[in-house]
Amino acid sequence: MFTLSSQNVAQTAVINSFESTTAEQHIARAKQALLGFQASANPRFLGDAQRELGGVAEVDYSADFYLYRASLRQSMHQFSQASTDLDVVAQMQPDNFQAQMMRFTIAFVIGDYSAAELACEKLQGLNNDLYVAACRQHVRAAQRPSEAESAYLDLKSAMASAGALADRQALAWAAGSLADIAERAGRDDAAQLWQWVLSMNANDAYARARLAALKLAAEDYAAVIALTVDHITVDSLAVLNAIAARRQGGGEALISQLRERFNEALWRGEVLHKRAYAQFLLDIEDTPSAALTWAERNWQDQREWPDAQLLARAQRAVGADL
Amino acid sequence: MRLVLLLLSICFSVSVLAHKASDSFIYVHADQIRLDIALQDIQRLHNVDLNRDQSLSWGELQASASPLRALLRSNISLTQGDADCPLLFRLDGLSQHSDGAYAVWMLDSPCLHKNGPLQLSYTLLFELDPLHRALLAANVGSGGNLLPMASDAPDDHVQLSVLSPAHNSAVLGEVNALDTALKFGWEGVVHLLIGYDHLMFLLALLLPATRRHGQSTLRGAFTDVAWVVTMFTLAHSLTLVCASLGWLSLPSQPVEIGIALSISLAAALLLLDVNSRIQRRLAMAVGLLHGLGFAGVLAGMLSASPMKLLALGSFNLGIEVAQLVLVLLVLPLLYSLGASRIYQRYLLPLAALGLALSGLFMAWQRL
Repeated sequence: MFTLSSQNVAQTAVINSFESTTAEQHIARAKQALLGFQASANPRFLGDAQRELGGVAEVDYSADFYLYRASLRQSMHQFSQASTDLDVVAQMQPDNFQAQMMRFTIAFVIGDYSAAELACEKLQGLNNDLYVAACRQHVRAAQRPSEAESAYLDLKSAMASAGALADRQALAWAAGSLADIAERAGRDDAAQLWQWVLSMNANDAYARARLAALKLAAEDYAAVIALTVDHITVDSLAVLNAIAARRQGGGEALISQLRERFNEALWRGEVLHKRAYAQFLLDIEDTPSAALTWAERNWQDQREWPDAQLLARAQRAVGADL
Repeated sequence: MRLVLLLLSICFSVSVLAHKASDSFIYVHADQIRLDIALQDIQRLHNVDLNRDQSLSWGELQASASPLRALLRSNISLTQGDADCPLLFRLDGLSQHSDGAYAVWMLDSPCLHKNGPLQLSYTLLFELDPLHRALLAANVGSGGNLLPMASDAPDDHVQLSVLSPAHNSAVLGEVNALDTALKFGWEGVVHLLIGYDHLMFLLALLLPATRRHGQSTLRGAFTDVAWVVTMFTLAHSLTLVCASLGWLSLPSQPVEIGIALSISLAAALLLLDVNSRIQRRLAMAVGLLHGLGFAGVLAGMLSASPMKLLALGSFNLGIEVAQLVLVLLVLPLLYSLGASRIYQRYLLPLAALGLALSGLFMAWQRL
């Protein structure tokens, strides 16, 4: 027996209905598909979203259309096209909080801190101001590493003044920013903070991966395995699991599965998770120069803290090999 | 990266990390084509989960084989020239890929057993999922012919391609001209470098240029050598082409012995200090033999290539380029050695003697 995820089965009804559909219906289905992707991380939902958005005639392109297309493109790591769509949303609806948040996230991830700062300031008054405090300090810590510690303290006091009963989503977002800043500042409580973010939302694979990476660096392999074992469909978590298992003398089955997965992605010509692949090449395959090539390609796409860390490690490994 | 969610009722921070994209796998062999489709994708195409327990059994899959076959038939086609090929689809079993279970279909067609290029078109799932791809691997011989399933083709004989909504068909066993040129050019370089008898003869042609050091410049020495090497090249290109195209055929043993003896002859002429005109004639005559030797190496590879002339030209070009580079690298070195009296008095005669004896030894070995 082969289990199907509930989302896939639920989709059948949506997909089989090819009868005439209005633009609003297409857009609503695209949104459903994107939510399905966010809940399951199954990229088939992105295909569904693409199909639905493709069914909308150009005269019917609305702010929602651009917002969802931006979300789709962001998920496919097409950051510049996503930003173009978000610019259109911002023109049509300057108060669209989600669009501004997405603009900030993309600008921050690609390391365009002045654009991130701009998007951050535009969040003022659109929602809980904790978002503004979080993005402001986040950009500050990333842009000026010497101020990471002060950024940490400032964000922490902003969170404290917002109170424990603050909007839970805003608090979770700010906590994620705080955890990232703590890592940049070299603080010991970074792992605890990621743990806190994860406790607020157990489905947060990003926080899970960041926490597992810290545990791996601390050589706490049992903790890495416990954090990742039920999430090996996610590339980055599977790679962390494989590294921890390998260091404990096992993991061969998962390693060969990952090798196959990356080879298929290379065959397809789309390696979306370049950082995970670079880490796999560095820590599992022990091929530092190939790892450096992929870490550099990843750096062209995204420049978050773990991207910088991996690039530096690959550079050191190649240097040590020479 | 953290992703901003579209519904505020769901927590903000969720990763964009994914499992694997939707891919089918097509493996093409001379005897049949295998198609692996993810069960998840089958479920998207047709509701196979008859008892709605959110899992698929082999029985459920078999029960839906007929409507699935109709879907495959309307979305996958094979043509040979302008003619459509009949295709049979057989549900064969299940396989495991990195993201779970796949249904395996075997496709057979009488066209697979005929000669001639085939074109496979695939549109399954594209309407449903524009991001779906079919990853195609064809087991192709070096001639572009499809190999049977049983043959374990080396990696460089597996032709990989990707079918997408924008490029939904592939010519099976198609060989790219640039690939052929590069491949055969490189083979030419390799065969020059591993053809030690050829290299020894080349050395015997270069050494005389160092004999009259002081009487001629490097430029003069190079001109002499360039003429000799050009004659040699023209001659061996001529016989390589004639033999490869089947216009000329000689048994390989006498050719190989002749090549070995040519080294001894060139070395003897070096000891006798003959003028460069005689050398040029020798180079030309012996070059004819060397070309036949290369043709023997090339024959096997060439018979399999659909682009014979291109392959042949590239192979020859590879040999000539490698030869020219070697001459340019080695000649200045030998010329500077020529200034030394020890070289003129001892090393050069010793080298000539060594080459002559090696040639004789190789000829004896090849008897």
